[in-house]
Amino acid sequence: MKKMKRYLLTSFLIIFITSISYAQQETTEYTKMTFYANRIINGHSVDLTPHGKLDFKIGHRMGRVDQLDNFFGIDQATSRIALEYGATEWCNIGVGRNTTEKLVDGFIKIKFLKQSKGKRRMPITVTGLSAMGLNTLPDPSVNTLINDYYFTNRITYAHQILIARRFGDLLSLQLSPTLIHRNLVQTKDDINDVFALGVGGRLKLSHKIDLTSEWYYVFPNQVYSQYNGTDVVNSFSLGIDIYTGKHTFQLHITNSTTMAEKGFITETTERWDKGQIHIGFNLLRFFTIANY
Amino acid sequence: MNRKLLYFIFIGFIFFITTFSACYYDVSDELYPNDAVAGCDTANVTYDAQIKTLLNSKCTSCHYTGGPDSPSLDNLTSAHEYAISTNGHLLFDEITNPNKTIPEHANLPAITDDCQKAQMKKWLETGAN
Repeated sequence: MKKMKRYLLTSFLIIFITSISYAQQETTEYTKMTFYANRIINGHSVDLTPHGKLDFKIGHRMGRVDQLDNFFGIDQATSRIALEYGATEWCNIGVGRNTTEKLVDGFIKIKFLKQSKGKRRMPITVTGLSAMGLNTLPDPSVNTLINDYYFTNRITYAHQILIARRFGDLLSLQLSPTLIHRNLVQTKDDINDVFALGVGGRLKLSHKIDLTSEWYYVFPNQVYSQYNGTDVVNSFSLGIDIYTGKHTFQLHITNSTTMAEKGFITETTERWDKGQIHIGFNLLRFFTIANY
Repeated sequence: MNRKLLYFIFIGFIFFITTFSACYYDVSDELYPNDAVAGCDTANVTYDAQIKTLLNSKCTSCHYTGGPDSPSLDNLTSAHEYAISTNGHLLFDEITNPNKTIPEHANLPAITDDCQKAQMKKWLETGAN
């Protein structure tokens, strides 16, 4: 009898545990907040502005920290003001305006795959980004007094496939294969279609603070033109994200001052090894437009 | 067809329209060629030194003060006013483009010398003074 009881109890436990694990397989748990914000630092992250929310974003990059007469660069600044909207759960649209080149940019960002576990298992999140920039200043090398400066020469495009994985609470990593198309390049040696690879990450430091980093590698033999008399180098940035509930505050140091993709990926000229870095921040604030 | 698929089709359509319809492969050095001409002094271009002679050879037989055609181009003031009123485009085209009506009208060939073209361009570019 005692043996029978033990047998029944064991059988019940096996059935119970099995049913629980089976129930767990019935649901899918999607990973949320791979990064604190929809930007890692300069570049986009896989995350989207939530559906029905309007994200008001201000980006600021100071002058160079090695310029003591400009109070470590704080006297100078470039900025970007942007509005980004969560049109659906999987699609964002946005517009922005940069002081550099008085560039106006717009983008569509679509989440194709969501990292998940449970019934539907997906190891990564994949988001596509297609952005367009319109330079409202003419190319300074073009004599506009004589030449008609074609409208199409003001346009650049950026296309990215953002692939990221969140490894528990501690770490997220992202790869960002990128294509920048420039309608106008300076010389015949320059390539209109520039391929680059971005690598970014987030390391959790505390409940509300993350350490972030981002590096964009431009594949060689594509960009030959100099900007401001200096060769183009890769963009590298290091920062911290502070999440305050309604705001996300991103504070960072970077060698890029432009916040549009074509700027920081193909036109960065300043070097970390020479101390030519900038303090910058992004401030994000969500407004609820519609509740879903 | 569900709503999500319609969204995808719409956004894909917008994406293709905006991305590929305005995609160009232009090179600034070719599309907007540099003014530099070998052996040509474009550093010190003035109305009195180069431009006056040039306008006299092509324009002022008709475009003189009190003459049959306006504007008058036989003095710096009126030549400057005309040049800046069209941002230099019109004067440069008329004097260098053989298909333009004014040189043909006067039966005078357009400027073909690259140095003269570059000097005219430079004068217009620097404010036509």
